[in-house]
Amino acid sequence: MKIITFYNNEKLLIKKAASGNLEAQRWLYDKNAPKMLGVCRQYVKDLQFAEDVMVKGFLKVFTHLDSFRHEGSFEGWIRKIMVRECITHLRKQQLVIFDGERYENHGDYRISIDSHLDVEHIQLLIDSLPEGYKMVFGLYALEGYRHHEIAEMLGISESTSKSQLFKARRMLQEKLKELEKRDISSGQ
Amino acid sequence: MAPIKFEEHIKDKLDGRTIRPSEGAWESLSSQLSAGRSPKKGRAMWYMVAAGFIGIIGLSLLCYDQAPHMVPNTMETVDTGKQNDKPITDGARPGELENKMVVAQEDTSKSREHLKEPGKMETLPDLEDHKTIVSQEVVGVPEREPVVSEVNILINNKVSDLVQQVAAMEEAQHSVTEREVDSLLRKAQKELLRERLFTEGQVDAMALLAEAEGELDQSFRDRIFEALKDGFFKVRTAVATRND
Repeated sequence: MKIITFYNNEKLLIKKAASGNLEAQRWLYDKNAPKMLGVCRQYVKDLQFAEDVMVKGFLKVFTHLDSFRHEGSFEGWIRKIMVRECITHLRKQQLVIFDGERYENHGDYRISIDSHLDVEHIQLLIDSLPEGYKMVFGLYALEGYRHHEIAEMLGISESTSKSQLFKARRMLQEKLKELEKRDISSGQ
Repeated sequence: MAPIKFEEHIKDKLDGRTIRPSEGAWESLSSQLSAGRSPKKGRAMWYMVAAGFIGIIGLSLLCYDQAPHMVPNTMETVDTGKQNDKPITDGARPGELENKMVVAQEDTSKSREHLKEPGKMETLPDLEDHKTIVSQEVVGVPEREPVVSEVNILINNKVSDLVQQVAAMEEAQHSVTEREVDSLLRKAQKELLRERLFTEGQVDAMALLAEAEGELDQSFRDRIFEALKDGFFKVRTAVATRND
């Protein structure tokens, strides 16, 4: 009973992990790693690389645990570190190229779908995007960052961020249409 | 079916997704974590070693700073002796260099009182060692003046005794010869030396050493004699002047 109470107290575990307690670190890792690998996989196409990025991210998490102020959720804090680690990885691999073509009038381009998509299909759609589009789309649509934040994180202008998002959405819609067409033709 | 907002839909789907990492991922992470910890320990050890070195350097500097102070103190022993020279040699002036020697002897004979105290060196094997102790006994320096004044008091007492003796002899015989005065002075000199040698029934090793040095030089005996003689004649002249 005591053990269950101990392990339910995340704050205490974080404190212990910060002091270098390997058991507490393992517990926090086991709890958060599957979700964080999913986050890394959104940005990094190869699962093995995604896992490497996740390990690097957790290393930063455990070495900077002292800076966690318990103001937001611990999971949210780890997630931010993971996303930044993914950006660093993709930049190191020189995979991120931002399209120079700009669209001045982006409008509020929203995609609607008629049927639910499973996670594999969603991931395939995202993987099909160029790295620059994918990154801006992920940061904006999935992580909830604003354009000025994305611009700062990626070292681009705000308008470039908006252009990338617009093009990513347009491309995704085209892909979805293709998918629908394929489904219809396979259904007939 | 109503249209679904694509972005919200994929966000919900992806947020709920979990991918189980391989076991090797934790192994890799834990090894990196322990590798990151060990340099900290090593760094702490190096800090301790550095602190130790700084401590040693600090101590050596402290010792180095103290070392030069010892030399002026030793020098001071001679200088102070020179100042204390005057009361003994007043009138006699047998030479400044000799005076220095005498005061040094007086000094050491006084400082032996320190040596006799528990926890301090008691034996004085030879003259060389004695000289070494003189240079080491910086504590003895402030007591030099009392030593000289003590000798002066003894001489003055002796002189007054002599004057009284001569006065008594003059009353009895009406005249005292130069030879008788000289013999009285010699006697007083011997008594003075004996008093210095035997203090409270114990033989004073330092005084014996001083005596040995005195035998080599004879200057100390002579100076005592001269001081007595000078004092005696001064007092006698003063008395004669007063009576006139």
